[in-house]
Amino acid sequence: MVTTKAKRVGIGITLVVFLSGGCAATKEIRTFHDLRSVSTEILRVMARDTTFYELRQFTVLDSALEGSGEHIVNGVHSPFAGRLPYSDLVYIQAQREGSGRTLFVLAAIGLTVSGLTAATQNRGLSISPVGGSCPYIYTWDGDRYALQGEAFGTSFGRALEAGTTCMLPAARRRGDTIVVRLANERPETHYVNSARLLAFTTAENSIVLVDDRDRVWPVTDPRPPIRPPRKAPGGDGARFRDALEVTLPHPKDARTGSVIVHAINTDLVDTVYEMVFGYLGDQSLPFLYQIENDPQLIDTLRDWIREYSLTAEVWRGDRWVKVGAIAPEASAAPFSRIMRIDAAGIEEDSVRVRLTSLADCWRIDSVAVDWTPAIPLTAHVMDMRAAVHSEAGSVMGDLSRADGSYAVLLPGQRIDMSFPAYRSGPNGKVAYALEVRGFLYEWPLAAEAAAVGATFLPGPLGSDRLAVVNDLVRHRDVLLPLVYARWRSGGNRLMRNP
Amino acid sequence: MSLVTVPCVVLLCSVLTILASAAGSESTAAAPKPREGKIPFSPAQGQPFPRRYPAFDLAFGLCSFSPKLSDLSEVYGRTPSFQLNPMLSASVEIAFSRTLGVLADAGSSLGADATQGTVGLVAYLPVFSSRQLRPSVATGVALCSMSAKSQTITGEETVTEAGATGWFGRAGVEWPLGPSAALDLYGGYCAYPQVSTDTYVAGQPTHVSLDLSNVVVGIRYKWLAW
Repeated sequence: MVTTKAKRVGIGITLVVFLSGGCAATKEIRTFHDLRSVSTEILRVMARDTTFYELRQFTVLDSALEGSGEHIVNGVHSPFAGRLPYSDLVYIQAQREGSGRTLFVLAAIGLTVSGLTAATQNRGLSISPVGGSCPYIYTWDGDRYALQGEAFGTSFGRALEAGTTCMLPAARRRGDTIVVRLANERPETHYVNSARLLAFTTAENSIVLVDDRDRVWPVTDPRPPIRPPRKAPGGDGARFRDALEVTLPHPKDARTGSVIVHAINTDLVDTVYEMVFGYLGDQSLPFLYQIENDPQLIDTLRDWIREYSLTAEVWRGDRWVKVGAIAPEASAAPFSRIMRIDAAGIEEDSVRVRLTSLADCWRIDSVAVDWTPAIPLTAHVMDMRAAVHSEAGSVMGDLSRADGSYAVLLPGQRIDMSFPAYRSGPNGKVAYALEVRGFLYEWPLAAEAAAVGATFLPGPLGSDRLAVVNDLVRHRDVLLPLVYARWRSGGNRLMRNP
Repeated sequence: MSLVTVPCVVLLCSVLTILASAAGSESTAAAPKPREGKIPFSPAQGQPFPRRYPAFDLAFGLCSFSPKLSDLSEVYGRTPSFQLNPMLSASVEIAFSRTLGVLADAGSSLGADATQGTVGLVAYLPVFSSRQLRPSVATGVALCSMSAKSQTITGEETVTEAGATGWFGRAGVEWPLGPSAALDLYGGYCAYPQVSTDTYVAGQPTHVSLDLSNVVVGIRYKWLAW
């Protein structure tokens, strides 16, 4: 499909052509003065009998036009030389063989044809989340199930199993329970090891957010940057890194604070998946086996997750000092995370924070800082009352502990869990978070996506593709240019949607 | 040369100069003054501008694209705003005679990836035509395609891709701005079969249908190319 940007460029060019040349290509002649001033152009004359004359040579007389050219009757051209009394004419038009006219015609035809082609692009209906690669976490908000976040999105395989703490700001009581739903809406298999609901009490005027080490903090007074964020040189000077520098207010007596990042991940990782697994083809399963069992490859993948993470650094007068890193979390639902910073020794009334990551992996919506003195909130673990799988019945035993017992979610399946609501005191409010642990397997690519992915490396498919991919994932300088070439050409249009 | 000859030559030259000057001023005074003002055309103002056929028209304009997006409220929690309107349209029209032609046009949304196009026959109504107005009706095949992103009420970024092939009918009135330009106002209806899919709403498998049929109104500047 024609992209919006390309479309706008096309429209702009067309308008320029239209305004600069197209309109001026023809001119209606109404006065003798105009008629005498068009001596170098073709004159098109319309007669009262609806026939045409095209005169290449002519003389302007008081009562008639005298000249030679062609007489056109019903599309048939014949030579003409003679006089045409004005009283027999309906109007006269000067025509110029201008390039503007040609461009205008080409532009109109081009836009029409490309528009009609674009109108055949999609057929039927497809509705799908943008990106996402993990179970979706919903909670009952009193009216409907509200999406709150995504769980263990970077846990590709058991060796990378991880836990996620996801705040549930929309959670409302349903009777005396809090209801949380885990749903698989992707072509993946999810293995959920454990899930538990945490309750926190906090002041009415605060919100509760999780930090990069899964500690939970109150946020009372978030303050925006004091000047617009600006792009900064990449964190480690490497290619394919994004860096954003923000200057945040800093009360001189403040020692520690919370940098709050509200963001969403892009679906760049889907592009990588499509390229790698499309190329691997029937070698995908041996590669997945390696991800499970090859310690070196597992370490490499962990390095990639670290590189993918959003790293925060504070300017300490002569150098940037790392204060934390947020792991990629969700590409379908925006999320907020905290990184705690220590500003001891910073005397200025502002602090400079630099956020860096692998390029195009994060879309940062806002950054703020809260210097209100705080300590991590104490979690109250709520006992699970029920966990009902949409097809397998109760899975409470599988989810109650992080052990070797997993509840399995296939596409379209879900688990509805209920927990008792926390009884808070008269002051403050209750905030809930779901702590969930597990891993996932991506499903093999659809044939269309596999065909696209298979083209990212030249060469015969009969070669040792497993070895090629193993080499690629270990050599970022080789892999990243290929990934970003594909990503920036828009070559990952949701081909893995169910 | 004698002393008499020199004055005689000077005298002759003077006389010739005076005569030439007199003749020049006489010819200037006698030349007809070029005619100025409007050309006295035939008073055929009530007749449409004559054209030769096949005639070729091009147009650019704005039009609407407004399918019934409330069908998607089950997914988005509300009627999504896809910024489909307005569309910039381009069209090509070939008239084979005073009464019949073919047209192809395509509108592309300025705010989203959405396109609607029509290809069909157009009939001009010469009975009602005048130099002031030229009505027409058209029908044929309609095509549309859209790919638009919006957030659901629960914050989930979701893409809807849809497209269909149907038919259209429309009527328009052309208001000539001169022999080679016109303003065209039109309205019509593009009818498409319903499209549907199975998706998830909060983890719940859900069947969603969308009716892409829509009323189209548009205005375009038409250049009567030849």
